[in-house]
Amino acid sequence: MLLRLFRRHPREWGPLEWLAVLGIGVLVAAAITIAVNLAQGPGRCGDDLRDIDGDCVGVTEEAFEADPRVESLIGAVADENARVRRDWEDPSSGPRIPYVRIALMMPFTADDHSAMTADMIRRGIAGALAAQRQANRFGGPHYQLLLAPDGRNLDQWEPVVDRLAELTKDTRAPLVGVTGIPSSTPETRKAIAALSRHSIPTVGPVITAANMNSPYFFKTSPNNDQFARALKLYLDRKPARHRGFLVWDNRSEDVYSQNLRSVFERHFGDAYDLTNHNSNFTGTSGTDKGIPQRFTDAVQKICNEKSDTVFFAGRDQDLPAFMERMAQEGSCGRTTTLRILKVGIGLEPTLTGDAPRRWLDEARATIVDASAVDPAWWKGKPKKALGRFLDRFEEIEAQHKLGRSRSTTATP
Amino acid sequence: MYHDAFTLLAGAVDRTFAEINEGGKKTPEALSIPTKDDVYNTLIIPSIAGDGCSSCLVGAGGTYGFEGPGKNDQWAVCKPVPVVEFPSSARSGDPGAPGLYRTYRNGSGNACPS
Repeated sequence: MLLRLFRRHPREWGPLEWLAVLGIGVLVAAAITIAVNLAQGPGRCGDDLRDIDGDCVGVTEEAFEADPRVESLIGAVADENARVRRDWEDPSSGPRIPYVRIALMMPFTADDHSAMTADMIRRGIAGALAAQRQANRFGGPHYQLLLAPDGRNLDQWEPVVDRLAELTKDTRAPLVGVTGIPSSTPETRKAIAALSRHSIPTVGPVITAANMNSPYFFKTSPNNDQFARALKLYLDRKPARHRGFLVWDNRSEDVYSQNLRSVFERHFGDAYDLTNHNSNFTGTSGTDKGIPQRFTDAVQKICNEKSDTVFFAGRDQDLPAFMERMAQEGSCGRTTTLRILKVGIGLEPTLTGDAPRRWLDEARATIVDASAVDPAWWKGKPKKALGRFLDRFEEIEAQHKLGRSRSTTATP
Repeated sequence: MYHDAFTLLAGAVDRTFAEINEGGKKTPEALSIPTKDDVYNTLIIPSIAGDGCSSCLVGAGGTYGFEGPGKNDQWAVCKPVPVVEFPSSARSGDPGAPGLYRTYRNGSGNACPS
């Protein structure tokens, strides 16, 4: 039939012949597309995620291409997820174990301006994985830890939230909650509002900006106001000579830094006359806004004014550069120790290594951190959940070479 | 605090699962599985009564709880807040040590569980 159709010269073809050619062309193109896709496999982001601006974005229980420094941890989560699925679908022995899902929504890639450094991502995954493994040791339902990358700048949350909402409707293994949300930014404020609109319980592990609130958003950390109250108690006990100085991040879009600055001004502004004793800098976290971390003005004023108490209203990523710049000036004739007051979940390893320790020594300074944990709690024989957490965390630390002693690394 | 955040959710799931499957042995296929709404309803039950704690989060960052819907914007209450010096010169005290600042607790004379 086809052969008969094409027996005539193309110049003599009518509509029927041309329609047949078009149909064959479409079929060939579809076959080629399918063959190429099969040959390429699911791609670097896997079946569940989409490549958006170089980041894999979406929700998955499996491994995918992320920052090379975090891929082994992603693989470990994927392995645990596969085991949980197997224990329900095809257990090797014993009864089937039902499971639910909790998503870890955060970036899994890092660069110089990203919301999280690779070390932060590693510790975040390690802490969540430690809790997942601990929870899966007991009776009751088991847990998959879904990986929900929302872009290195936290700005790809919309497709992620849509997919999370779909997963809550699964009747066999529903999504029951979300954790992650690693930073206080305009984008994460929109994300927690969207998660609340879908009535998804969400827990922020490291959120401290006091204005990061939404009906379904729980926070396990203290907020900046509470950190400041703890610092006030400290200063009441150790007032020094009461010469204060405020160093603040001038990025107006940084919800965290702006909130911390206003909290410091509210609690310490009058007592330390911070209106007349302050300087600002541009932090590294966020879009490019010129050369960041220019601390010369702040450091020179701190020296000239013989300040003994610096309130640092910025992100931890920028503090090492401040400490290094302070070290260049030396102790500038101070006879007392300069206290650098900050708040945070814990002391980042970037603040406690050999070089930062040397900078502090050269500047005759010390860090005073109102924190969510004290590394001293982890020494000796820790009690209760802390001990169990450290057991699981040390397994992960050994397997994935987190590379630090437990006195400085763990971010529970 | 990623460990504690996951543990808070998993603890709420476990309590919900135990309650909705009370009474009688069921096959795995017949067990009721909590939904996000069930878990939320568990999370908003106040976890601290008086100076005792019935369902506080016993986490790596101490023992703490939540006050219930509409109170304290879902920030943790009774969370210990140590002040840490580096290089270290003094300890802040154990998570339950007296004198250690703990986050806002409404009512009951600000009592927090040890």
